[in-house]
Amino acid sequence: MLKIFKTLKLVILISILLIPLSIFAAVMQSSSYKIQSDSLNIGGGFSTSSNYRQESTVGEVGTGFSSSTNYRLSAGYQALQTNYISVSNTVNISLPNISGISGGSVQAQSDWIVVTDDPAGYQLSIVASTTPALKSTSTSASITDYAPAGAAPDFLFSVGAASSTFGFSPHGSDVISRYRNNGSACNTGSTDTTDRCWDGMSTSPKTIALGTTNNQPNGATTSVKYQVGIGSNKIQEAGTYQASVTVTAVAL
Amino acid sequence: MSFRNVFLIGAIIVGWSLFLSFFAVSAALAADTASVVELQVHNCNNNNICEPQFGETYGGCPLDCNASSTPAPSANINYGPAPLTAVTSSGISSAVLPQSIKVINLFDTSVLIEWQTTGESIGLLNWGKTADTEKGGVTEINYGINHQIELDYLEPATLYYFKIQSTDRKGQSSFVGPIPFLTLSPFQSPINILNFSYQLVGSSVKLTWQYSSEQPFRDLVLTRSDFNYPIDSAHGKEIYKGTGTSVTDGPLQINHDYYYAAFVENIDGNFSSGALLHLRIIPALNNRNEQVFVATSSTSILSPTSKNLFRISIEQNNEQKYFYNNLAQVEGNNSIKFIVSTESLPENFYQVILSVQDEKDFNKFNVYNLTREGSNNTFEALIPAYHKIGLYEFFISAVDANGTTLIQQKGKLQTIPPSEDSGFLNKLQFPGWSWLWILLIILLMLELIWR
Repeated sequence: MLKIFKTLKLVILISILLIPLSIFAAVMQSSSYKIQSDSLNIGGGFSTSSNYRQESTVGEVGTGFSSSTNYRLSAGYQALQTNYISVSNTVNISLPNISGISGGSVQAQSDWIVVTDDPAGYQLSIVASTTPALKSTSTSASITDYAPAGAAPDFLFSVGAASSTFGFSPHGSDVISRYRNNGSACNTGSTDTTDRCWDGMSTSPKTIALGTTNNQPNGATTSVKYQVGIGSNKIQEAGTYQASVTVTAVAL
Repeated sequence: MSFRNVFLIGAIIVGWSLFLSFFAVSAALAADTASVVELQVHNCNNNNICEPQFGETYGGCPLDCNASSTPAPSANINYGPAPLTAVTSSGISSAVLPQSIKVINLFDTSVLIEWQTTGESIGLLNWGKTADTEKGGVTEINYGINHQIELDYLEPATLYYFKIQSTDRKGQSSFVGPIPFLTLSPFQSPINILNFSYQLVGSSVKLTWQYSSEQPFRDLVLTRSDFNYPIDSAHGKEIYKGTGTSVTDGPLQINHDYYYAAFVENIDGNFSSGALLHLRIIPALNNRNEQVFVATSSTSILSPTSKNLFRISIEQNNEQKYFYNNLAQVEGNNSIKFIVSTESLPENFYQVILSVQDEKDFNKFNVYNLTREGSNNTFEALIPAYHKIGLYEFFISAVDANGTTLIQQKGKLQTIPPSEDSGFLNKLQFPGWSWLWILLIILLMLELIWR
């Protein structure tokens, strides 16, 4: 018992002694270069394989992540190396009104800006909270999720005369190959065209954009067009329909 | 300090650091945002207001869309056969939603497109010859709520489409389209005659007509064919040329079909599309059971074969009026141009005919030829103004050379007062004696002020 108490005392003492060292671990700079962060530790370093490179540090104290209402703290050398990623907030989107009798189609668009300093880039995915995504807020009526004819998204949005459907089409500089086209088909070619390559919402996340480098400070914009089509022979129940959509950006 | 203690201390420090570092990394690697996509679907709401922009039709919403119900506010929104965007003036929509879209200043090679947004936005207008609006895009320079974009260097008598993307300062966008419009033909054809009527005089027929007062003309050319309606002034036998308002043709044979077409020629030498009349003299019995001869005129009215074969639009004063489910609002006192286009026509097609209900006699249909414009399957007719406020049925028919109807499409015109504001005082209709009351009130007010 006495031994354990002594050990704890020693841990506390060493920790107290190391705190000032952390404070004086000043960032150095010259006229040309600046060291963003450094580390006072007792071990670690770089190790590499053919595919990966690893950097480790051993012996730092007071490291990790903590936060308050207004601040986030990333303490320690490795915590400072943590990548940053953000995705811009979106307001709710109102599609133009549509007739449930004569049908037609309506579109609206949301834009998201993803900013990351991750040199490996990011991945942006979209997911709906329900199946189908677009549901009446007052009744059980819904509009079915868009179902492409094949595995790839449809090059053009289409709706059967007796059906209604809700789809999306992403575009932007980082949009993935699934949503790129060769002028007549999707998931082939490299062209990113608005209003092309229509896909359906799902409760499983669907990747829509992939960035392969850091893009701070401007970030990369990915837009998603939503479209609802109601066929001429379909009578869609009147009312308000809503879809809850979440986009998630993950640093790679 | 023993080796064991040093190892224990090191293990605790490293473990704790790794534990905290794990949370630091995992908390910063992803970010997400959620939004709600909202849609309003409208259909028949039985509010006694005919709202075609919500898809209410005479057939589908009889309580709202009968002749006595309140017409919907005039809105220039296309509801043609192509998949189109519906826009309403409802406050539910986004502030950047383009509303009150108008195709104005329409000429043969240019058009001005206007729209409004409730919030400040900047517009991008894409246009092209297909619904993909592949030709290009024009963007505005400044944010605002009143928007205008002019398209130039268009081809005459050609169907174009446009889409509008409206974006606010936060980057939120809303779209409308594709919306079609048809550029004018390079020249303006004259307005057809009105009240093209007949009266049997012995074995001859007296044809009468009136000219539109909206424009000057040079001549009227009246031709007759025994087989089908003349499609222009060069077809058939010319039986009259001049500036008069009647001609007697005859004698005519019993049980024989006569097809008349009257073409107005303007001072530039252009002809109207032609007002048509079909006559057949048949034996009949009068009140005293004596055999007499009467002239009959027929208008071939069938059930519409398809609602999507023709794309019909209407122009007045270079502004395109659109159809909501085959109903278009037109201003009284202005001539009406019918423009009909179609993707394809039957092989034995001969001509396109417009039959529109007469404003005085609902049992009578005025019949007009539609002139083919250019090489497109586009046909036009300029008919005289309707002065009486009302609802008039019309039929567009494609017929073969024997006069047999191949395709027929039905629509309605709703005449509304002209949009020009004639002034508040002109709208007030004071009876003669009411000026005495006004004078008395003014005198009383002066008396009060004097005191």
